[in-house]
Amino acid sequence: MNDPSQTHGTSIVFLVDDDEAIRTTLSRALSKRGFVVRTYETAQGFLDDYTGDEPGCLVLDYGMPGLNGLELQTHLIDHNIIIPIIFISGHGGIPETVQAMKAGAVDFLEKPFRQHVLVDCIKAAFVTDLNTRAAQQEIEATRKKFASLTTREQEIAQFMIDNPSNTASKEIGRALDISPRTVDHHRARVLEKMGTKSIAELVQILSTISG
Amino acid sequence: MKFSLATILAISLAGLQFVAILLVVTTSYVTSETAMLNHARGQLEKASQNTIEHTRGFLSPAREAADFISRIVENTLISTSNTAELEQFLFDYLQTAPDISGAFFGGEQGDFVYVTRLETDDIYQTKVVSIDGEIRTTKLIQRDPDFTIIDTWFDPNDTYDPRTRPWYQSARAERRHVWTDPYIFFSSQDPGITVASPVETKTGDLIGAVGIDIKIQSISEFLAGLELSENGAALILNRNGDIIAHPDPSQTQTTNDNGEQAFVNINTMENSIARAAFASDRADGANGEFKFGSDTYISALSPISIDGLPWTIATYAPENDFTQDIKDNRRRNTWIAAIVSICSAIVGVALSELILRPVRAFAVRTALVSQGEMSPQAPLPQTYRELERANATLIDEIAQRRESESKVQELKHDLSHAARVNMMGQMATGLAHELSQPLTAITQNVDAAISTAKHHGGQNDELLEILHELDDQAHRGGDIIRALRGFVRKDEGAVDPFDLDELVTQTFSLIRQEVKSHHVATTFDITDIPPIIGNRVQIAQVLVNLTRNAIEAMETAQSPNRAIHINATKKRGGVTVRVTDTGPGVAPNLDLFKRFETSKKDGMGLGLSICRTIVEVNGGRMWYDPDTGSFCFTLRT
Repeated sequence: MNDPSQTHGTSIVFLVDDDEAIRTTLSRALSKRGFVVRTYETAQGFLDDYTGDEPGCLVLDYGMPGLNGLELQTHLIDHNIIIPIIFISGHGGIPETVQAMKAGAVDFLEKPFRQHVLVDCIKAAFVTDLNTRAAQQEIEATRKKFASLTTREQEIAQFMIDNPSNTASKEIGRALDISPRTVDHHRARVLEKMGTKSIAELVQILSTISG
Repeated sequence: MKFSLATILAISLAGLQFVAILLVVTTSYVTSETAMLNHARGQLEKASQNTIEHTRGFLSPAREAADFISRIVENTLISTSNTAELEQFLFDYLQTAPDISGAFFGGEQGDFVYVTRLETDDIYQTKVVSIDGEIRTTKLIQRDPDFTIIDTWFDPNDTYDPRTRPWYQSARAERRHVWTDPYIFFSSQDPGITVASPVETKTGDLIGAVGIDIKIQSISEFLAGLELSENGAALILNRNGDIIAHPDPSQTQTTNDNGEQAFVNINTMENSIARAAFASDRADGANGEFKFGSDTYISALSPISIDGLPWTIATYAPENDFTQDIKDNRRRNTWIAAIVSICSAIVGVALSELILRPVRAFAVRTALVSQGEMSPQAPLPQTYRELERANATLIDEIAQRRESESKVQELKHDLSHAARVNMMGQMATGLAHELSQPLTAITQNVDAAISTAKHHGGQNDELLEILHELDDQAHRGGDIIRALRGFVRKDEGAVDPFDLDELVTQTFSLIRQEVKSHHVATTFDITDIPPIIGNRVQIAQVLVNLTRNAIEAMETAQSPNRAIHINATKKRGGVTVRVTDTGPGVAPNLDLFKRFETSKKDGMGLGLSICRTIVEVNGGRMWYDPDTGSFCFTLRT
């Protein structure tokens, strides 16, 4: 038995479509296949409900009255809410597809679509979403560790990120007007606090949170 | 009615010539006729004067002779009683004056000496009547020019008494020389006149009278020789109307009822011009002009005024004698005018033909060009500079018109095609959307059914097969929709920069009839608009749709003032076009651009939807501005 819950944990399919028949049938079929499905009649309904914490993907009807699919996508990007979007459309026009894909949609399916195609898309979106979230969490952890550094330690860490080829104690000390010994001491503390074994690893980790 | 240039030219030329020549001929005729008539009157007057002079010159020797002889006798140089001496004297005198036909003396006693020249053989005859108391003898003597007697005889039956003759009695009464009325001489039967002069004593007692006979036939001869005119004549009339001189001497004498020779009287003349002119009961000629038969005559009467002679010179001449030449001339000139006019007409026709040939060639060419049987660029026939210029202008005009017409026609063709395509596209798109929803629902339900069937374990292959087939059929429906959509989508046309102003003008020339029949005024404000990037045919369709909507709206609302205004304004990266009408606007609750939604009774609700799709495909937006009641759309530049 191919149960998606085993591979994707608590990932949820958020379905937004103004057509009730689509909502009903699609959610039922996907539920039968083991997906957790949550449906919304309007894009605004989804925005009101969704916090961004729940993993999953958005199956979004392209042409809706009021806030349409494309506008919802723009809104999410503007509010830094990252969730993979699979557009489903009765239009299926090339210009719309291009526009949606440019804005970061995972897929664009013309109604009616083969169920296995949708299921594959959803599964791929789940993986993408989980990966994105994991990366996000890692960055968040790094940021927290960095925040726990003292001001002097942060200065030294920042200098090393900015000048990855000049990480010698002497150079750093001259730049920050402190002795190389002090630099060595602080640097050892930084490596320890950030949980890294080498300066190279430290620079690599810190680069994910900078900029 | 329109005449050809040839006719006008021919008639004008001929007519002008004819009128001009006729004018010259007539005026010259009138003036020359007047001149000729004046000249003719002068001629008549001159003839009269000549006649008077001649007559005076002719008569005066007779008068002088009478006076001279009378003086001789009075002075007793010759005795009246000596008849031989008197005869000799008279004979001698007669010989020296050839015009005088006779000379005589009559005395108070009845005595009479008369020497006369006979007409024949140069013989002189003398008649002597002697009174001796109661005895009277009449002796007749014939002599030759040498005074030799040829013959002599007596005539006892003669009763001639000079005292009873008019000449004697007049001379006696007047006591000066007197002229008798002309009469026919007894002896010669010729017309003549006698002048008598009294012979008196020193004391004034009458002794007798001297008479001189003079034949007046030579006056007629003079008149005959008078060159008055071809048919003109001069004659001399006595106071009683007797014709005493006439160019034809035979016209003066006739035989009266008594068998005697007498003068012809003008009043009794038969059928003659002279009678018509001068008879006392007519006297037409006295007016200077008279008619005889069909001819007009001029005439003159002048008294002769010689020694109280009661004679009148009458002259007349037909006008034609003087004016015939100029009349002939006029007739000739009229013919010349006619011939010249005909020649002019022929020349006019030829000339106009010559002038017209290039024009006609040009007209033929123009007709061929306009029928499209000849290219406007084909070489021009030999013609006039003016026509060449007109031709150049026309060719330009035709080329421009053809070009703009063909552009409009092309646009019309493209538009109707695009309209069909867009209509199909919109219907297909709409249908696809509407059908894709239930098809999707079906496929989802099939999927759920398959899942359910599998979940409940009981492997029912037949049911699964049915469900899979159901799924396939639903997708087949989807494929058909997709194929239809793809098919329509192919025809989107080329995208080239174009001039919006030109497109609007062409578009409105296509629907001009519609706009006009609904009494809609159109105004455009499209200036300084850069070239539009987009599909011009599709944009034209948007304009047509919006304009038709506006016209229908105003028609439905029975708007009194109907106008459509189109303006275009530049904005960043493009142009905003506004189509504004004076209609009632749009109901606020209508979703204008939704497919299959309409406020029109027989509309499909696709027009505005198509418009918006077109505008969006061309990279613009479309909306309705309720504040101004305008449909607006943007285009890229």
